Amino acid sequence: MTMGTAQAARPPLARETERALPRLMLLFVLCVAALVLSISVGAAGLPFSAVLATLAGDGDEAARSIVLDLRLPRATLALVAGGGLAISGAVFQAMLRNPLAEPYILGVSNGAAVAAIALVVTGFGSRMPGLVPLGAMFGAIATIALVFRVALRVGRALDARVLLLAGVMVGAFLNAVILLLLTFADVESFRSAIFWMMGSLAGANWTSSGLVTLYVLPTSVGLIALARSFNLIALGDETAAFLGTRVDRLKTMAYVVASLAVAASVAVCGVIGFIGLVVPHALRLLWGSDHRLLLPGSFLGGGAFLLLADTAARTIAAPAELPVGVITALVGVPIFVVLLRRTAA
Amino acid sequence: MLRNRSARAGLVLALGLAAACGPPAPEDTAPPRIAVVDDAGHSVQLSAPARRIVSLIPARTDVILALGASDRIIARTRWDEHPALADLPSIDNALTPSIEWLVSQSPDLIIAWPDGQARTVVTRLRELGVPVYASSVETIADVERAIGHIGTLLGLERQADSLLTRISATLDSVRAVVANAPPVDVAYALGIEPATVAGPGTFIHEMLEAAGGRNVFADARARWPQVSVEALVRRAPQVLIVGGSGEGGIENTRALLQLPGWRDLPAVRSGRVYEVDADAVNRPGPSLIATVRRFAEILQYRAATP
Repeated sequence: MTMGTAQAARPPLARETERALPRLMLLFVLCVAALVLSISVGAAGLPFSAVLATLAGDGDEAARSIVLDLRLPRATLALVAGGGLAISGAVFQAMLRNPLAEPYILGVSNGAAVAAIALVVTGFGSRMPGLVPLGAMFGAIATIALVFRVALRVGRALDARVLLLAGVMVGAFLNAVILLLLTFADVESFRSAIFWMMGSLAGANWTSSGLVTLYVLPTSVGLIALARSFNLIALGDETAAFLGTRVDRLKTMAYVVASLAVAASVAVCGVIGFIGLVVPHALRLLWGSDHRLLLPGSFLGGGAFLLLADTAARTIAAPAELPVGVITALVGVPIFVVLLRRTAA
Repeated sequence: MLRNRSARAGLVLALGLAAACGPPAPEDTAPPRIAVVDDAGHSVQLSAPARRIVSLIPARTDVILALGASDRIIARTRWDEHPALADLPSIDNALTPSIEWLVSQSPDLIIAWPDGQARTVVTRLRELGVPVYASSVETIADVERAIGHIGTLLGLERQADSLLTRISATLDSVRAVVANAPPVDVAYALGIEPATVAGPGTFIHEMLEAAGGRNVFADARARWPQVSVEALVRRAPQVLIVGGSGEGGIENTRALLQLPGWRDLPAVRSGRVYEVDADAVNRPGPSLIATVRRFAEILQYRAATP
């Protein structure tokens, strides 16, 4: 609705496309810079030369362990998780035509949390370490299925308002289940569960970051390939259908694909708020809402943002770490408010 | 790739050790391997007594201090306030220490909670080959087992044994003193808003029972249940012990005495409300020797004046 009118007031699409490439290059460079920074700094205070030597294949055992087994997988995870959250946020906002939509709005995070916490509280999680993220992934996917089932049963095919309501309702129900589980948890499970809910990249290893990459990269490429159709949807379902888009099929596919990316990231990193909301909006405010720029831009911007936030979370309070969600919100909100004011003026 | 290499290195090392253990070499025998099975079911193996230790659990840090090995601790948490540790770098609440910082300090033993979920620091450290001893912190038996294991891991078995003897002697003597006294209905409150008490299966519960108390929340479903004031009033404890003063304790026990419900408890009416130091009492470690004595004093005290 508002996105549609904003689109009409902008210069013709051809000129937008010409500008898109340098803008994406800029974000790409930012992303690479964030990646380099994130690999070079940390609580251990390795000199940059030692980091380079380690990357080149030299370096002592401790440096290799720190750079290759800790910083690199964690940076990879930050990049793909941040990118995945931001791009799926952009897609949810377009599909639901709701500026408040964010990656967890359909209850994905609550579903993952219920499964993860149930595994921790019952003690199964401590017997098999790999079980918790697997269970969380399963919980997230089951929640998506449940929300869609509820929405399809109640409304006509994929009404955005009904879907939103179904997501919020299922999320609220699962939230109550989480609180119930925590009431009967012992101190240790409680600590585990809280840690899980805070959202953190600290557990990153090559397996987990590889798994998230495996989910997020193909889904992101798929979503970017659909960018033109998202532009049409932004004009309104009827217009899009009139222009030849199979709206329902596209929407179902986009929801499922975006939710899978979110499910993978929530299963490994827990809930990292704010990125999926603020990065797409910031890019829209800056550069308009052409999804051909917005979607790849969101991926790169979200990746860079989470990389930088996690680097800050790892180093500011060293040798302790801050929850990364604290940084994303503390830094993200002021930037966003400045952008909002600048655009309004 | 690197994992493979380290796995191969581990295999070579293991084979090497096995070979070294095979024929008894009189000159350079490998030092006897130290091995214990921790509370998460993992086998913790050291080739020599641990010398660079990070304990994420304050109650276990207390054990190391009680064994006289404060010089082997290389980092502290926010709650480790012993002067010997004051100058060490702090990993704050120990919930999210920096793994790379820990690795860079080359510790040879990390003591942590046995929560095995995949993202935790503990699992990641174990993957990186840092020996992690996971310790439960719920019961007196947990404390005693941990003291034995930590003694073994640090090569301080003699000190550990004498600490264990002191604990069991204290428990025995307290039990002997209260043996013939009628049990006293008691509740231990960790917090008042909401009312949180010690339930069954906790070291506090066990100490209350050992000291001649009858925990009125012995049938609770959780270890540290939040209870309604109504439940508290109905169970009418004759004695109320409040974990107060320090961090995590109850700020103002006096205010509690004025609260509706609380002020009508038999314990409050007869003036048998006692504040104990939460920092010491809520830590399941060597401090339980002093705590169980204090509990016995409180529970066996017969008010001479009305």
